[in-house]
Amino acid sequence: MSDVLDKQLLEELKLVMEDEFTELMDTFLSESVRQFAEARQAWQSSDLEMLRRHAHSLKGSCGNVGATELQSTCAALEHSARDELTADIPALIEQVSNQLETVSEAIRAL
Amino acid sequence: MNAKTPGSGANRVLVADDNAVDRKLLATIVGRAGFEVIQAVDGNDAVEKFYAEKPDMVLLDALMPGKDGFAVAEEIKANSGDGFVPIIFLTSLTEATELARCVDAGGDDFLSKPYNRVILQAKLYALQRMRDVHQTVQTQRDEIAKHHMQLVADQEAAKAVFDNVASARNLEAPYIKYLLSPLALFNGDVMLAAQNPANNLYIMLGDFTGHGLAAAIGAMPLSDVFYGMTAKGFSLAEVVRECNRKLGSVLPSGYFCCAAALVVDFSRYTVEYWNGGLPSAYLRKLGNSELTPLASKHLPLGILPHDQFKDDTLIHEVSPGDRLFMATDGVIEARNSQGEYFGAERLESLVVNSPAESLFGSVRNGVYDFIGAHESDDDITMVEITVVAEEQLQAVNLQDSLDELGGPKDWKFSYELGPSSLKDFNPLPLLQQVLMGAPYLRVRASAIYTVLAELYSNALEHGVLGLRSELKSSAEGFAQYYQARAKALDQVSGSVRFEVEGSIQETQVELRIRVKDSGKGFDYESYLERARSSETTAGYHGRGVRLLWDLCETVEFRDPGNEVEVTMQWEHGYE
Repeated sequence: MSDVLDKQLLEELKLVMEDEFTELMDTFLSESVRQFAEARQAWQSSDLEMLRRHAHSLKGSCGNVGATELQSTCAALEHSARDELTADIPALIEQVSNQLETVSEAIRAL
Repeated sequence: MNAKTPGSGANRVLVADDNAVDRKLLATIVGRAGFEVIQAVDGNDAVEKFYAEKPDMVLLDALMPGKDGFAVAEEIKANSGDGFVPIIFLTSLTEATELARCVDAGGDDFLSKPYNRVILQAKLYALQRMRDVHQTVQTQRDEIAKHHMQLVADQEAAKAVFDNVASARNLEAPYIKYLLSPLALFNGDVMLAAQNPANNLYIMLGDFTGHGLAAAIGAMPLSDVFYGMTAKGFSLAEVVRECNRKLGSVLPSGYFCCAAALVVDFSRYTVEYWNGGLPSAYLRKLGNSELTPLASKHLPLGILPHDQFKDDTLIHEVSPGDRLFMATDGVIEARNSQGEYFGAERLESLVVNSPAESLFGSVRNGVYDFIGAHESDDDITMVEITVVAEEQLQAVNLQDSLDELGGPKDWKFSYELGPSSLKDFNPLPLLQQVLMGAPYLRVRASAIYTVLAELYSNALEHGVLGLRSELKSSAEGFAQYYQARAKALDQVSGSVRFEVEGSIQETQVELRIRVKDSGKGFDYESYLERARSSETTAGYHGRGVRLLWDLCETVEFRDPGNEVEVTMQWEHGYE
């Protein structure tokens, strides 16, 4: 699990957020699920611009909670959507889905 | 983990990010840094909150649904007016062109994800300081603008007051031509004109050092003294002496007024002048190709202390048709496009060679042609006076409220001046003031003053000092006469006595003036005979007594000729 979340960043986040750390993590959990659902929805309606945006948002959220691996995958998805590399997109979405599952579990386990 | 409280009032931060995680994290960091946080969930919300909450700084996510960060930034910057609302763009954008978009939209800084608490805090504090500096600059700019407006208002007020006190009202006479720019006052130029009780024309041209309000400010006391003393009948020497004293006491050190003043006496046909630091004025005699320069012989007004001031004046005889020209240094110092000065030589040549009736216009056009300027952008001050026959002077209309208020109806007084008084005291303003306190006399103020002045100068000059008026019949003699007068006054002994008596009958006013001097008298019989026979000629000789005959009912000399009594009578027109 150590690769899924950046432990050092999380420690710092705990310092910054104090009591609100758990709340922030809860927000991430609900927001990331929503953002991913919207990204998938956009792909299904072939709206690459919306897909790019949601991938961008999710990427940002990941960055802030130290979900480094998921963040990279979101970045790849964002670029593919922007550059209309539609062939790569289904695999990337699948990958984001799996990693999001793993990250969420890791967070819940904190 | 409480961060220090920001030191200024700029402590409300708007955090606009559609990403809930980011927004929450940022809000926490900003709040913990001591700022009050306002949150906005997207672009439209950000604009709304900006107007409603008036934040001091804005953290703005670049990519948001609806209105994106760039549009929000543009709107905020366009509506901050003079205020400075720093914007930090929150972005994971890294490409130069996109960062450039942030700058174009008005971004003042960037913060890239993931957010770092220390960096964000440092940026917030830095922008807060920038905002404080901006605020200070704005405040100072507003103060400067306020001061400037105040200054302009002051100048306008000063000009309005000055126009009321020293308007060119007395310059509107057919025998005076003048040029005075509306801005002259703030270039330091002043032109004053007034008539004394005997209708003599007093003109003063002044050029204060400096520009703007400092130059204008001395014009007030100067015109005050000039008009006040001229109206009361003081002599030119007394007027300039008092102007010097007044300016010396009110002007700061280093400020003074180059001035020239002259008096045209239209009944005796003389011009008397005093010039302190102004370019030469000129007397151009009719039908004479030579100019008489009336050059500066004194220091400007406001420099010398009262006891060192020199008020000696020079007198020239003039005749109708003669012209006097005065200008401030704006004329001779006017420069053409090559930087060449107009100069005194060009001026003199124009004054002497132009046809008499177009002298003024020739000089004006000469200067304008030389500098290639239009009449509207000059700062040239000049005046020309034509000596006219007394009948052409405009009468001064006086209203007399004393007539209806009452006053002494039968009265007399006597007033005697001893040698020390004769030397340097002028009794005319005082006598005139006493007489003007009686009803019905103001309507004849000019005639009364003229008679008093004539009687006094005869008693003093011919009686006490023993000077012979025949001297004055030639130009050289004229100058000699006044030199002799000054010399004799220096060691004067003797006295002059006035006895004045007034009575008001039902419809008639009678004024009786008797003047007796300590001199040995003169052969008035033959003098009167000569004056009668030369009545139709224009010479100076006998002019004085002819003036008395014109103005008085009776003129009677008493033996041995050191006493004369005149009576003046007129209907007062009131029942």
